[in-house]
Amino acid sequence: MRKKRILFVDDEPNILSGLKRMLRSMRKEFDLQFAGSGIEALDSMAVHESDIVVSDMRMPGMDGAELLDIIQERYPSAVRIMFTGQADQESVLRTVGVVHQFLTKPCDSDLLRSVLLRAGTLHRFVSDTSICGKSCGGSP
Amino acid sequence: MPTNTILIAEDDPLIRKTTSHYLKANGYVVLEASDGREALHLFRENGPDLILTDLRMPELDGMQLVEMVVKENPQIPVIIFSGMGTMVDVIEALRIGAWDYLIKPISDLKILLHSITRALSHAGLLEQEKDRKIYLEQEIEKRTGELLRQYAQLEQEMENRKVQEALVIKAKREWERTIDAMPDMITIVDKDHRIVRANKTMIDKLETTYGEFLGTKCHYCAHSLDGPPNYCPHSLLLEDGKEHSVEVFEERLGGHCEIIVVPYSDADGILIGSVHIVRDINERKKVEREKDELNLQLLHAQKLEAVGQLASGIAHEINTPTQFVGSNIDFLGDAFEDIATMVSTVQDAVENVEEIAVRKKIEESIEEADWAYLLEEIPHAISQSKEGVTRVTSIVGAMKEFSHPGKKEKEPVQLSRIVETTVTVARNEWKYVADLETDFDTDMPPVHCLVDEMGQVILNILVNAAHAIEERLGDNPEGRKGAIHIRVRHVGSIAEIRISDNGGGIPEELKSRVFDPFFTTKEVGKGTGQGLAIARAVVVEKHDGTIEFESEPGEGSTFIIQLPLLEEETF
Repeated sequence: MRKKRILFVDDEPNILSGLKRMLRSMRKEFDLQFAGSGIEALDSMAVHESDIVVSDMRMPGMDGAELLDIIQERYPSAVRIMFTGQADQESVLRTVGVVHQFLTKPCDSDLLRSVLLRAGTLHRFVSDTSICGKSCGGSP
Repeated sequence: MPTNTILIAEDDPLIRKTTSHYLKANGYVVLEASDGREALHLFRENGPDLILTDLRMPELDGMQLVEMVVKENPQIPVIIFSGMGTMVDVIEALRIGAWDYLIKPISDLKILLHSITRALSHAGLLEQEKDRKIYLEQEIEKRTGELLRQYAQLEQEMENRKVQEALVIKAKREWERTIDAMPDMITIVDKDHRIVRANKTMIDKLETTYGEFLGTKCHYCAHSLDGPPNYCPHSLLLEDGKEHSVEVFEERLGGHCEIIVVPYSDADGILIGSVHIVRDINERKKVEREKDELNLQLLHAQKLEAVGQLASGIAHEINTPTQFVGSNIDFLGDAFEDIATMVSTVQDAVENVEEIAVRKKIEESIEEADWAYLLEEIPHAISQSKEGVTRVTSIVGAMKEFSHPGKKEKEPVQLSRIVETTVTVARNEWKYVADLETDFDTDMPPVHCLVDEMGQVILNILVNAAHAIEERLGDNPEGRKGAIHIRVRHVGSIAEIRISDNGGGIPEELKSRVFDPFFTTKEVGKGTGQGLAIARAVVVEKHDGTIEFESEPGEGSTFIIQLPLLEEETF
């Protein structure tokens, strides 16, 4: 089984580097990508599509909800996770239906790892056209 | 002088003619009649001034003639001619109206003339008298008429005056009844502060009588003071002649009242005192107080909401660095494990290294880094840092939960959770002055409540407890601490929170005012005096619960909140 490719999107570089370091121990399971904004994330997806997208909610310019909305449209098989420090009702409502999972900052490393492993499994099912049908299958 | 007419009635022609002749010669007009009937006829025809008649005549004798003539004209002078021997008749004739008599034959006619003159003169006088009498009578009548008219006028005037008076009295009574019917207490006070008049409302309110009340000093009967109080609006009015008003609380006047004094002048416009209007404003005060309390609660709620939004924003801000600090610590932990494995491998391998110099160098380098210590301490440092992050996370979480402008509806919650959250948030308030212990009922059913507001109640009491202890500790360089104990349990269908402190307690005299809004013993800036008032409003009005306290001055206080448990949970 090939490594799952995960894209983290956050406007705070320290968060990204922290995650990068924290998940170093899973470098065999995951191939990690990082983007500092929604636009960067979409560029990254265009070059090489990630299997899982983990995005912050509040970012300058395009926010997390908008980004995941676009990703759902363009790359329906990507598993979408909202990783936010602000679990208020508004963001929940705006992203319900777009997001597979919510994670709140600060997030315990064990929890994050297990969520990512489950997301990897989920992605396997979602991208398996024999289960999901052609309509929801992504491009390879 | 006008000529007088004399009627002679005489049946003897000789006497008649002689007499007639004589009288004519003396200037009289003479009418002659030979018997009584003719004489009567001439009398009626000509109205003579005097009648001279014989008594014995044919047809109608003299007596009858006199009688009839006198009957018709009582003023007419009648003189009787009479022969001797008829004196009885003469007397009778005089009785029935004759004026004089002459005896026949008349020896001297002058006597006749004299008698006639005298009679006429007398008749004239009588006539004058009569005219005068008539005049007088007319005059009297006229005067009487005038008097009567004046009298009637007076009577009319009196009648009018009576009506006027009745109207005035009626108006006065109406006015008094109106003033008495007014719900305000009204009294007139003179320049000496003496009560001059008062309406019934005032008399009734002061449970006195007019007799007792009038004349007493206003400040004495209304305020039991020997002199006017310093706020006395009447004194102000006496100084500047203007209307003044003041709001006072006076038990005798029925509590809160507004006193309005209006200048009172006499008919010449000279100030002689004031009219006091004392109005019961208890209802208004109550409404105002309620409005104040409501405003206060509203303000408080708005403040809470603003603080809540701010705190929620701050929580978000803290969460971001917490996240990467956590990630990095995690990474350091992983990395250290790898390094430890590596160093251990190197240490193992180094033992087999032949070359002493290399081996020594490696061993020295490991020694130099104090590897044994690092191996021991770095995992501690990392796990403690992780714990710190966890604590920051829980504090921020509690802060968010506590301050989140949350639901406005009641929901079933564990009271212990609200207490824990509040204790965490308020740690800074109590941790320097007290040790805090909690004691939670483990099989406690949930309570239906407004989470935010109940949290606020516990916070207010907790902060008060900390302040009470702080105050009791006073200047405290050795860092002594008091104790706060919070116990949550349920008794039957009642959930109970007891918050005890061993602070200074509540002085006996302040116990009744603890829950009053704006009541505070704290210095300016430390308390607004709303805390317990709001606590009571939340517990009693919004949760149908009770809030009480037990306090022993010098020993501490315990606040006890009791809330009804959910109905279905009580079975």
